[in-house]
Amino acid sequence: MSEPQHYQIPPTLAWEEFPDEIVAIDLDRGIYYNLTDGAADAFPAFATPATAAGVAAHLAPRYDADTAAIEAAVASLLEELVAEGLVAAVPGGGEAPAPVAAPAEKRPLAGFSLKKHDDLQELLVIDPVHGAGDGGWPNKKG
Amino acid sequence: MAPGSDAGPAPWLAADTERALSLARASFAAAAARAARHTVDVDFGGARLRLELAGDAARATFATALEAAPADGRAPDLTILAWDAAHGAPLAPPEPDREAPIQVGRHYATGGGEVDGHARRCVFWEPPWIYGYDLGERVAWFHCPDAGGMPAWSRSQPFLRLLHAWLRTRGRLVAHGAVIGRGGRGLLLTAPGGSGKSSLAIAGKLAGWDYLGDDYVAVAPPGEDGGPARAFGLYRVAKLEPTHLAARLPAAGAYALDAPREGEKVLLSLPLTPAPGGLPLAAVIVPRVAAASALRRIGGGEALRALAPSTLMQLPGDGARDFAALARVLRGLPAYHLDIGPRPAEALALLAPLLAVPEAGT
Repeated sequence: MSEPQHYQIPPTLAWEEFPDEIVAIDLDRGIYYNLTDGAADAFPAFATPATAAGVAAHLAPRYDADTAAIEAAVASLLEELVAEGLVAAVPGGGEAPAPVAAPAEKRPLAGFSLKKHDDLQELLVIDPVHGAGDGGWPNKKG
Repeated sequence: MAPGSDAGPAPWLAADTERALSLARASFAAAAARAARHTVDVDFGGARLRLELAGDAARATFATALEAAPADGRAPDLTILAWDAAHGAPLAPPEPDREAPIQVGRHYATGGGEVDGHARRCVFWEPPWIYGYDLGERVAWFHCPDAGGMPAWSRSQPFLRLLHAWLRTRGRLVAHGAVIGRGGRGLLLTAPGGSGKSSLAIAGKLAGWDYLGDDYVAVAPPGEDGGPARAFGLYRVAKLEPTHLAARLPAAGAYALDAPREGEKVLLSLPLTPAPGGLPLAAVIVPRVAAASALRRIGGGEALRALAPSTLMQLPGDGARDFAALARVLRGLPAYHLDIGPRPAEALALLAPLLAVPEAGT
């Protein structure tokens, strides 16, 4: 039986955590993301190498759902995170994150997805505000 | 990598940033020998900048937006040389590939090791301009084909990327936002273009509020002493769409520098409020134009999404570190979403209570 795959946030990714959400930015592609609710809960658990099952077990005390449902939610989020390059497969190792403390009132299982924003991507190609004459900006292809 | 084909330096630039500075100095000296040379000192809250400008057009283009400070005998922390090819001193970068999209501010080469954790030398290629800096030599340079033909927007924010690179070594970040305030405290207004932040900042200035800029300001994260995040003014020339001037802020017309060229914004000369130590920030505001003015509290993450991407994508540098610093600026500040209705005074009235100084013990 093979070891479950571990995943980790790449050290080059810029991300910041606020009480209400996590914001991550990919400056090379001009895309930024925000993660709230379940996604904001799960994402920091990949700061060190972790498996989907390990993260689900870590979060389980917080949610009003069974283990299988939490694992499915984390797996679905992980698929998005990998596709967007916000986490990457890494060699296994290290300890699984410890379960979080159980809150007085458990949360419904929700929000295990990320929001992607590409509305500023054109800033990388031309500066939409800054028109210029011949030989200068903009130089946008028709 | 071919020039203009992708993010990265043009080969000419990547070859030798030290030689680029040497060529720039020689080119500037040749221009300064042929044209009137102007020296302008600027003080950004203790960070001292000196402009050495070759030609009257260079002075008009590059110095108008900067608040001149009286000479006080202090050596500058940075000197920027600016000149143009119109005075017979061309500094020609390679021709761009016109078929490929050009990434603004992303064709640059660095070299010379580091100063305070930042690249010591950098050369930017932003056709038709070429510019760069050497932080070790405390010198920067900016060359253009014709200083008198620069687009209006560039006159309102000269040397933006050079100031960004330099001020980072002074613990400050250039941020895409406006700052207005009252009573010694300020509000950082941040949102993409078209959100109404410039119009609101100008309306505040006209209403007697403190004013530190309408589009780009410098910010410093809270100090280790627990002091608040602070804002510093950069540019005293604001930009406004002619239609907004006519419809919303006709009184601003008295501050117009000149008649705008077709398709360009009106440039307004609006003196910055003196704030030598910076203006302590009381809140961050994310505005948008709406049918009626309204204010509601939002989270810091939403404010960071409004501030950081447009700042960092236009001012490339050490993205992760700058992103973290912008987050530190916002962490201690309450954040609000502001709908700006057709009467700016109503929006300002909603903001005024945010600037009240909390009473001791509250």
